[in-house]
Amino acid sequence: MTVVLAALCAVFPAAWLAAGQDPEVPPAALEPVREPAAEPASEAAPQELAPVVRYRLDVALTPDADEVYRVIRGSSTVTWRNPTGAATAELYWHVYNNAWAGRDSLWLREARRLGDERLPRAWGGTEITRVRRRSDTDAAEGVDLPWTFVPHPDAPGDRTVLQVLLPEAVPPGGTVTVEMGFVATLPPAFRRSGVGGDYVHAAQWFPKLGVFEERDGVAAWNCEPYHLLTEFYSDFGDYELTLVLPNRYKGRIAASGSMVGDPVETREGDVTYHFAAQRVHDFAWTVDADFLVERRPFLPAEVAERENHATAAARAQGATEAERVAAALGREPEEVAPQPTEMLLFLQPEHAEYRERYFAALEKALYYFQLWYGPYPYETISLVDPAHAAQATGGMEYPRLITGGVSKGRARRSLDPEGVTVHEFGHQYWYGLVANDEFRDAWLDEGLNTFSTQRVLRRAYPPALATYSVLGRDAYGHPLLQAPDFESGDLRALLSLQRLELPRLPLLGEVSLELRRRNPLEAWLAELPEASYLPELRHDAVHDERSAFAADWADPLSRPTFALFAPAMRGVNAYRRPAMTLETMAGLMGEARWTRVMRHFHERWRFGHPRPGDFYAVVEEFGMGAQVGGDTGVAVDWPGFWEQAYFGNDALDFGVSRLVNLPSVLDPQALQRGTADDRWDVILEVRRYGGFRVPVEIEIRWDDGTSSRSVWDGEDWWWRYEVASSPRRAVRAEVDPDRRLLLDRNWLNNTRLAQPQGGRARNLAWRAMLWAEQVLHFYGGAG
Amino acid sequence: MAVRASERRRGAVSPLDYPGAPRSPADEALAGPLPLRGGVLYLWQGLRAAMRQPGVLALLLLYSFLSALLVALPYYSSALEHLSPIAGFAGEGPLNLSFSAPRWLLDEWARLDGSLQRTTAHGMAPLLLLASLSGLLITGGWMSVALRGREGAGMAAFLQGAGRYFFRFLRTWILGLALYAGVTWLVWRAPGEWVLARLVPGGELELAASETRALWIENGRLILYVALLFLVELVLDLGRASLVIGDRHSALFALVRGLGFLLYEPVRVAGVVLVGWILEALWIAALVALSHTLAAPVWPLVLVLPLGRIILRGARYGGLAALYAAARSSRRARRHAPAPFVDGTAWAEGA
Repeated sequence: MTVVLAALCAVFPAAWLAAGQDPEVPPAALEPVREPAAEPASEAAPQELAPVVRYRLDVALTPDADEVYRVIRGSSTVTWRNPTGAATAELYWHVYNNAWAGRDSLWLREARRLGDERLPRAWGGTEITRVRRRSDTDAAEGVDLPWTFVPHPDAPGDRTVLQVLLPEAVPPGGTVTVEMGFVATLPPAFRRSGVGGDYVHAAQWFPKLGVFEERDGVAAWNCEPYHLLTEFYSDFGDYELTLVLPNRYKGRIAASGSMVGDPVETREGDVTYHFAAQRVHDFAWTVDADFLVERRPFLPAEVAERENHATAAARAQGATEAERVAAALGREPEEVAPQPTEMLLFLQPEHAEYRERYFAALEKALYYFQLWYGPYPYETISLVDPAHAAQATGGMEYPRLITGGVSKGRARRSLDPEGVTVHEFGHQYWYGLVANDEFRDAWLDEGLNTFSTQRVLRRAYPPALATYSVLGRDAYGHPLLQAPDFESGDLRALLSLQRLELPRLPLLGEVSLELRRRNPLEAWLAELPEASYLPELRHDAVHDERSAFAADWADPLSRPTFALFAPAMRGVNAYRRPAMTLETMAGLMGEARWTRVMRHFHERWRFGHPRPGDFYAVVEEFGMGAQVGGDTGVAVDWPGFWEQAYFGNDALDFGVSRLVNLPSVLDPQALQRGTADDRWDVILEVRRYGGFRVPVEIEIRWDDGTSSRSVWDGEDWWWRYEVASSPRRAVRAEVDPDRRLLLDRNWLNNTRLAQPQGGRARNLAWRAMLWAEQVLHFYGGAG
Repeated sequence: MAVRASERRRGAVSPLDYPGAPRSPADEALAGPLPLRGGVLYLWQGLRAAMRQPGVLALLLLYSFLSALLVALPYYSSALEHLSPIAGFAGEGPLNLSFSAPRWLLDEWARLDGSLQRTTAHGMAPLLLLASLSGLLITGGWMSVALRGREGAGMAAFLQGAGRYFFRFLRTWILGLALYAGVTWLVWRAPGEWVLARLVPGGELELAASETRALWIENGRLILYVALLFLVELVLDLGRASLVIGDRHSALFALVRGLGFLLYEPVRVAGVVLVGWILEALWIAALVALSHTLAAPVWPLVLVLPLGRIILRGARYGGLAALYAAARSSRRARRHAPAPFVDGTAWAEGA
């Protein structure tokens, strides 16, 4: 209980303060909260809930002292309904934009602590000019409310959380309306928001209410400050935005809502826009006078036709994907058919070459996400291609608005910008519609979305190929070896003609002379990639998730995102590891069951705030009874799996340790004479090298072309299979032959040939040798 | 020294009393000045000289092969251990790895043998230094061979030239390092940064008004840098040619002479060097295209590709040396030619 309370206090500032904890004591969130695996959240079915908040934002984009249009002045009027069973007399607000108000913000402190010294090129920040409670009966009346920024123990100067005290508590189900004046200065593009040239990306730009919610029976505000490693969490609500812009932005604005009426030009040369959005939990907008704007309808039938004929997966499957999904769900194909909507692309003129690729990726994403998870409920989806000077705003998701990002010259099969487009659109589902707490459980949206993204890419595109770039153009190929590149201070740098570095000398002091700088053009001339690189390195979109194994897995999935060991762990624990876990679960329970899990989880928690336990509950409900190896196989123990995959940190690794065919003749002379029967004792040994236990299939292929499979429950440390006097020899053995266990850390030990093939090693080595020859030849002429 | 006029025209035989190149106007007058021709012809002369040395080519090919083998062997051992016992996945096709590989396979191999890339990269470092230094031997050898003509050339001449000029070239090599460092400083440090700050706000390419502009600036900088590196290399090669032709010793003056020669004969030098590079590029492109078209294994490329490059490098060095010798001879002949009399005739007393 103490642990739970301490963890709660770390997450909820209000609870922290109420508990009277010493703020110098580090939050106890390092101890993950173990949620009962099968316990769903206690909220009612989220679809039935009315919006919790209503925002009316009246603002204008104005210039700063240097005439850069980056200051948003105005007010927000917020009506909040208390959705819990407990009253509260305070409101907590996120003021994320204050992360850029000075060096003392928690975000920048956490970044420095982890070695990232970068700062915005100019400070931004939000000033609160007034906070008033509006009367329910007379909009003109109101009382000023006391407010203060809540310091964080690690960053006393942080001003990203604002506390407003109400004169009386808001009862359960009651409402309160607060008007807040603010001046938000956006930074030059820095980590998700800001400006670059004429491009303005207003994200996390207005004070936004935290979430008042119940956890384990305790109602408290969940309003984390802006952390380096976390994103956002808010209640669903309705938004109205009135925005005054300089006239040059007319017709070049992307927003999270739908335009209401036509823009109105003012006498001052400005233009006023009205937008509205329902059932969203954030509102972002972007303007750029250079945008090329194009609208296209999303027509599901046409996309379905293309996808059913164009993709290899569809051809191999026989039935269409819609038929497969419908069959898995027990519904008619029409019931799962995607719905039309409108796509808006806001493109940089110099990226005109990507117009069709952006649209195609968006179409494919719209098609498959709707097919798999449910209809996209909004009238539009806007895709923004960020300006060059504001690339830091790319690759982000907001309700109904996503930002992509791509460099010039990208090869078609690099799947760039396709990957980022599909991923950010996917967040409309995982984050947008199913809105988990990204402070604590980032994996629940990023992981589900990475899983979904990679599946869309695998299904809708041929495998991506590795590329290298020279003079801004991509070419396909992958170097097998790397030229030496020594750190500064390493005397060996002279050997590679990079640097001359000598220790401190009496007269000269320290000598550090850069002789030649490695650069891509010289590398291209030296390495001759067309000859010496592997021409085709294929990326299977789903298998690419395994790149997460390159990192050291320091935390279990259950560790709150803001308390992870290192920034690299966010990439692992929020994205690829959960995606691999989901793939493994899908592999263990089969595609039909898995389709049901994902669909029902989405439908149950659409417009809701699920927690990991809610997800697990759906897994258990629809995965129960799944067996590895078919009807006669071994049942999957889902609680055990979840315990290991979510709370545990053990490695999953099965491998074939031995496969031999021993002559089973007892009389060696008969063998020599050739009169012995051709019989073999076949021995196969499989080992579990990690602590993670799960049932697994094992396949043996024989020299007569047949194969046989067995299922091992994976509980013991090893498994042995012996056949005495077999008339056939085993040619290969394979653990997990269908590659269901994406979490298996080492696939190289999953297969074993009875006769190793040295040819492939030679093929690789010849190419490595060719590479070395060319590089040495090039530098043989240098100096 | 008897030289047939037809042979001299063909450039097949050098009139120079190698290695004692003409040292006086009297020698020059005796042998007669070399005809100064287009740069490409000197490249052709160097090419023929290189092609006539199968022993030298075999030696250099062997050297190229063996030094690359040092890098490839640990790579092969690791591949043999980790990749040869495994089978490909269903649907991935055979794991031949000649032209194509799944990414997961290379990733997991890299994880299992985490030190492989570091080992091979660090193994490359001393080989790079060795390649650069042995390049000096090779330069001296090829220049000697090119200047010897048909009769005097051979493996012995190559090795003799390599040894004779190595330490003189080494001094130019050391000066060359300083020049490379100077070029690097010029392009990437204060001067380069100063120019960059004039082109984009704060000198940060991310802040350029457009990606196109940033790309132009970035590429321009790269091209300028690499072009300057090649220029330094060319000056060094010409300086070395001057050491050979004049049998001189001063590295510093050699560089000055190399630079002067480049400024004096830019077109002919370009004829040797640029055409040489173009031929090399064509050689590489043709072989690679052929290999891809035929889906041929890689090992023939390992043998044939360097052979062409070795020959063409020899042709460039030899061509530069021959050009330098001819230009020097021609210049001297002009300098010491008797002034014509008013009737247009001219004569001179033999020495």
